[in-house]
Amino acid sequence: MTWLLMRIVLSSKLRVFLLLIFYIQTSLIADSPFASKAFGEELSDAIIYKEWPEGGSKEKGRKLKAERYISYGIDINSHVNINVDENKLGALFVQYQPPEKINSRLLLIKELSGNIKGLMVDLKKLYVTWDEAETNPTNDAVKKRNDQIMMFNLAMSKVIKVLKNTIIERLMHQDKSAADAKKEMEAIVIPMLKSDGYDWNAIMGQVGQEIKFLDDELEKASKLKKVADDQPRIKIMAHILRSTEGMGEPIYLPGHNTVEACRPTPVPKVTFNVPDYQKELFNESAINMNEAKSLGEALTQSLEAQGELLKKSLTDAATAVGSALSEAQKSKSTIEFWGDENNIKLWYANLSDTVKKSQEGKNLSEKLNDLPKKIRELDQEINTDIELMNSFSKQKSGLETATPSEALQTILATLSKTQKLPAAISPITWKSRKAAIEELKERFNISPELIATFEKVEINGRNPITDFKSISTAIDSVDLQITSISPEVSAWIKKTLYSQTGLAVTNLQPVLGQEIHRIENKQLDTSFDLKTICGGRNEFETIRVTYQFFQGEDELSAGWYNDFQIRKFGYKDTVVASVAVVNQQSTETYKPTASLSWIIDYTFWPKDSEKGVGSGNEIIWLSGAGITTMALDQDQTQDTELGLALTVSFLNNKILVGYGADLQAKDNREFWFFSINLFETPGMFNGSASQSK
Amino acid sequence: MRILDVRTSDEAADIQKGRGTLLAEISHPSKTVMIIRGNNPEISRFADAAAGRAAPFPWREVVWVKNSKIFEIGQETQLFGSDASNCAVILNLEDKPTAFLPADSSLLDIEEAFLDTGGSR
Repeated sequence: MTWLLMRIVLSSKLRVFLLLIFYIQTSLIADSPFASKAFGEELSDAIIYKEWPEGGSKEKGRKLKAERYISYGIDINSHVNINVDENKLGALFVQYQPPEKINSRLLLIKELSGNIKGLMVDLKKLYVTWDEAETNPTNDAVKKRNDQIMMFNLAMSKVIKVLKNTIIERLMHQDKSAADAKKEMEAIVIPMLKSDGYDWNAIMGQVGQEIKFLDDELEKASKLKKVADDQPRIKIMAHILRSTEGMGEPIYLPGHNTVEACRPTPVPKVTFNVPDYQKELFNESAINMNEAKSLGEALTQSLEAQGELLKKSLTDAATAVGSALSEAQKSKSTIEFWGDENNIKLWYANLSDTVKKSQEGKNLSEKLNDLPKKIRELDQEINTDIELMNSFSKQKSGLETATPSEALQTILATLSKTQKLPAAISPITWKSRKAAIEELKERFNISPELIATFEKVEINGRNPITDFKSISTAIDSVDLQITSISPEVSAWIKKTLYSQTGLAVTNLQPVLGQEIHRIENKQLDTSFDLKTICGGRNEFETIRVTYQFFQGEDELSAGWYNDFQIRKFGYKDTVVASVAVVNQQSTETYKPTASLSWIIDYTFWPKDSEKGVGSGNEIIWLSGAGITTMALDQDQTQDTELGLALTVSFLNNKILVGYGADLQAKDNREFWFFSINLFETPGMFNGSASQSK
Repeated sequence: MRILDVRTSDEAADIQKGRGTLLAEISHPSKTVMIIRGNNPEISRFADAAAGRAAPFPWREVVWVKNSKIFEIGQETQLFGSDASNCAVILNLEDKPTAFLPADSSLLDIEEAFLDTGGSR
């Protein structure tokens, strides 16, 4: 076995290819973007998530305590309840203080301020009394001295305590923790304890400052009180993040928005379906096996077959992008025309006086104010995308004539310069562009009677409404071309650029019917159901639940988000096409052949205490078990021989080992095999190791 | 600050002298006395800080008993209680313990302990 593996490794052609694969895998796959990061203080059970997986082993639901910015993994067919404890939530951040409470603190420290000078005088008198009693220690003198000592101690103790507590309260209202506030307070107060007694100037200075802080706070609180005793309000949003470049799409949260929820659609995990890509790969490998004279050659040819398929897919993608590019370019000059303020002003001026003087005319004028600016912004975005698509589509002619490894290098070089390419060729991007154009077109829709009038008014033979319609049509064509790009290629491009979800997305689409509730509202509980997300979902996409807090007009800094990474837990199947090395009974030779394996693997359901987030790159030593089928050639009397073997897979389905029977052979039917699945193109074989569905 | 220690060369005399000093300070009709026990770098730092807060005010005194042999039988427990982490006790004008302090107390803790003694003779 070792000798055999060494022969494979030392084959020079194979070595070059392996180096290329190694480069792809190690240089491009950076730190897992899905590693969950924990920071920020706990939310003290204010929000509890409960995952209810469909068909999972957890009948009671899996409880997850919300912590700021933590990521969790949930099953692709789950729904998650979000239970909000309004009392605990309200206690988590600085509460609005009514003016009366601030005023009582202010009065206390102002009283102190008035007493300090008297205290300084009392201390001087105490030194005199002390000396008098030392000189003439009569009972009365000693008693008088002791009384003065006690009075001074009481008064000075009050000064220090009030000052100390005022400073700590102020610091905690400035979002410092209790421990930090105490530390900072000591840093302020301790220097006031001088070697000769007290630094009275520093004490009075600090008291004056605290009075000023409280005066300001009282003024703010008095204003807030006018806003009907405004308690903090909360906004809960949820989006599905499919990439870092596109916008997060809103999903339905009952009681918080009116986003459409689609018919529940579970994603099957065990389908026994061979993807087309794997079928092609198997066929290519089978053809090549007939010509291979050695195992090394067989493996090389198999790798080349996979490389050719990847090259073909990328070439097709470049063709689609080229077609989309020409559609996008058509709309450019139209957009540029209406981005000029003068043109829209001229058009408006050509409307009849009657229309312009009417209320509808005035409304239209207002709506057209910022239209050129919006057009120019859109134009800029489309320009950027056109450049990106251009750089990708230009590769097409080179790809057609290149070898697979040359093609890969060309594409990788292109992609390394264009991190924004996935967004430029994403249907989501172009759908949002269309929505923007539709919104601008809608501004002209003042009334059904007038729209017909507006469509007849032109400048330089052009009309804005007609032009926006044609831009919208052009964008539809772009979308169509983009959508035709194979999902495997899009996923490959995204993963090659580490464009994983859940990290840097800050662009979230506005949410239809988004509510902002008062925290004391008892109806904050909600949920999201993955099965009802319109547009489907895939493993390793992310649901982001965002919390924002408001008080009056101001957004508070207490907000956060949690990410829920979509996973497939439990049993799922994987189809692996690879080159197997077969040793049939009574022979001493190992013959290569193309094989197709159907493997069932199991990902453990996370427990309550576990986050369940995966990288997709974990090494699983014993990956699964299943069945492998392959063409054999043992019995010369048979035209076709099919081998069927029970199989165990290792190292993320990279190594398969099995034992089976040649169904057509009359003698020596049994065989064993192993196969090595060397070529691992992220995205092409999406998921951790090989093609999952 | 009064520092009371025992030399091996003259143990009995030092003990007697130390006890006398301790009694005299405690008995003063107008002094709030802080008694510190033990001897290590942390206690030394504490003692310096305490002495710093006592020095400006003649009605405060700090007595550092470095060697426990100076205490009368049962007196150490009577003063410091059973908590071994108490390195200092403050006696008010009635000679009653009003506060206990560990060696890592801050200057502010020491100051507040002196001020909170209350009581009068």
